[in-house]
Amino acid sequence: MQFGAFTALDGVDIEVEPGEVHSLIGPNGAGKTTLLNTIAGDVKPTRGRIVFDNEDVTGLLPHMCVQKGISRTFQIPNVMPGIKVWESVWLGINSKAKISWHPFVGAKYADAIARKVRELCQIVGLEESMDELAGNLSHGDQKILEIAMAMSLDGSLLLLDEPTQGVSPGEIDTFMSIIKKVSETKTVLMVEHNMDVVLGVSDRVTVLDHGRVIANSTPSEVVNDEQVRQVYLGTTDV
Amino acid sequence: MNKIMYFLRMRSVVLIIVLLALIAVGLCVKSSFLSILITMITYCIYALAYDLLLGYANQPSLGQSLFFGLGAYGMVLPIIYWHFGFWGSLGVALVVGAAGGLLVGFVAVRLTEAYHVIFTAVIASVMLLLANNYTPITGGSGGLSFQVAPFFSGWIKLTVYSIAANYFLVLAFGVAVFLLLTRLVSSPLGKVWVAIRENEQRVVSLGYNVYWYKLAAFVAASMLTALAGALYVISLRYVSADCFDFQWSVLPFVWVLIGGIGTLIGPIIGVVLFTLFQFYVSDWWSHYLILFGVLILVILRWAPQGIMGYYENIRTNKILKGGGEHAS
Ligand SMILES: Nc1ncnc2c1ncn2[C@@H]1O[C@H](COP(=O)(O)OP(=O)(O)OP(=O)(O)O)[C@@H](O)[C@H]1O
Ligand SMILES: [Mg+2]
Repeated sequence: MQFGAFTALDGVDIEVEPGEVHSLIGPNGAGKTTLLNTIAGDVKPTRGRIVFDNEDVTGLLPHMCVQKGISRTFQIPNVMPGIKVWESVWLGINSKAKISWHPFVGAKYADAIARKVRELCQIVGLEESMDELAGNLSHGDQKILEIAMAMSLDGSLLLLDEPTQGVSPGEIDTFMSIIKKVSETKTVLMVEHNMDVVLGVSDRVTVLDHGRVIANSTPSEVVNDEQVRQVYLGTTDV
Repeated sequence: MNKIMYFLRMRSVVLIIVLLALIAVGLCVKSSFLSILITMITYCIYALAYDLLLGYANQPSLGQSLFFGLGAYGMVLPIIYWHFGFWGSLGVALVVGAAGGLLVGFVAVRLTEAYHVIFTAVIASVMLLLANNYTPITGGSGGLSFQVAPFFSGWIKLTVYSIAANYFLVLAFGVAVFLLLTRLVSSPLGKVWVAIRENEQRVVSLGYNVYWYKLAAFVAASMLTALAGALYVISLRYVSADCFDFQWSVLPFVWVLIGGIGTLIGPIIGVVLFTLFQFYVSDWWSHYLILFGVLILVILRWAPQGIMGYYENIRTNKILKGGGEHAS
C-alpha cells in the first residue's frame, strides 16, 4: 500500500482464521490503521489482494465490504453527533435489513427492529443512554457505540481499531468483556495498544513495524520474541 | 419522555388550530388577503422541498429555479399546445421536474458542497438564458397567458378563476406536502438522510450506498419544487421566463435559513415572515428587501440556526433541566 512515494504497507501477508481474535500491534505509524482501511475498502491497495470468505474483495467500496460481512470501527470515534444512540445502532441493523428505502414502515416491523436495537444496546451496556445524542456521549461511551454500530451490521468479520484508546483504566474491563462477547460469534481483527487487553483476549498476534510483518504467533510467543521486544515492547513496561 | 410526548401533542394541536383557521379564512375573508395566502402556501411548498434537500440531505443547491421554472412551463405548455386539463398538465409538470432532478442530480450529488453550489447555479443560469431566448415557445420575459380548465367538475365546477377555489386547491396541496414530508423524514429513508447530513463517511461504513439516497432526496425536492412552480403560475394564469430567474434559487435558501434548517416548521415561519414583508412593507417602501436583509442579519446574529433552531434549543434546555430536577 503506497501513499505517493511513501510505502505504508510493504508486502504484508496476514491470515485471519474464522472465529479467532487476531490482534495487530506495532509502534505508531506502523500501518495498522492503513491495513484495516484496505480490508474495509476505505483505501484501495496499490498492489496485492484481499481474500475474504474465498472471495476476492480487493478494491471493493466500503459499503460493499459491509454487505459482504466486513464491518469496522474507527480509532478516533467517528459517530454521527446529532443522531441518538439508538438511531445509530438502528441504522446499522437497517442497512442489512434492506428496507432502508421504505419511505413508510409498518408498526410491526418497526417493533421488531426496535427490539433488536435494544438487545444490542444491552449487550454493550448502552441501554441507559439510548436516547442521548451520540455527540454528547463520553469518549469511552463513543468508543463503545463504535463497537455497537459495527456489531449492528451483523457481519462475520469485525475490524476494531484501538477500541480502548483514550479509555480510562477503570473501563478497560468492560471493553474486554464486550470484545470477548463479540468474539463468540464473530471473527475479530483488532488493533490494540493495551497489552493487558491483547494478552487477555487474543488467539493470535501479528506485529507490524514500518509496514512489514515482523512477527505472527501466539500472544505468549510474541511477548518473548527478541525482535518484537526491541521495536515495540521495549518502550512499554511489560 | 412524558414531556416530549406533551410537546408532540401540543405541536399537533397547534397545527390543527392553524389549519382550521386557514379554512375559516378561506370561507369568509375577502379576496386580496386570500391571494397573499395563496402565494404564501405556494412558497411554503417550495421552502419545504428545499429544506428536505438542504436541511435533511445536506445538499446546498443554488439552482432550484431550474425546477421551479420546469414545473411552471411543464404545467403551462401542455395546456397551451395540447389543451391538457388541469390534472394532466400537473402530471406533466411533476414528471418534468423529477426528470430534470434526475439528470442534474446524477452529477450534482457526487459533488462536494462548494462544487454542488456552483454546478447547480450554472445549470440554472443556462436554463434562464435558454428560456429568455426561445421566445416562440416560452414567451421570454414578456411571458404567456392561458386559460385553465376546471380542476373539479362533478356536482359543482371548481376553477382557479374563483379565488376561494384556487385557495383551497393550493391549501390542500400544502397540507398534503407537509404531512408527506413529516412522515418521510421520520421514516427509514429520512433517518438515512439525516445520518448522511451528520456524517456521510460513517454512513458509508454502515453499508449504505449514499449516492442513491442523496439522489432520491434531490429528485424528490425537484419534483416538489416543480409542484410549487406549477401552482404558482396556475394561480397567476401567467408564465414567463422570469420563473427561471436566479431569485428563485436564492429565495428558498433565505426562507429556510431564517426559519431554521432541518425542521419542517422553520421554513414555514421563514416564508410567512418574508411574504408579510413583501406585501406590507413594500407598500410604503419599495426597497423593502434592504430592510429584510437587515432582519436576516439580526435573526442570524441571535439565532444562527434560525428561528425554529432557537426555539428548539430553548425547549431542549428546558427538558434537560426538568429531567435533571426530576432525577435529583
Ligand atoms: N491517507 C493517507 N495519506 C498519506 N499518508 C497516510 C495516509 N494514511 C496513513 N498514512 C501514513 O501511513 C503511515 C501509517 O499510518 P497508520 O495510520 O496506518 O499508522 P498506525 O499504525 O495506525 O499508527 P497509530 O498507532 O498512530 O494509529 C503513517 O506514516 C501515516 O502518516
Ligand atoms: Mg492507527
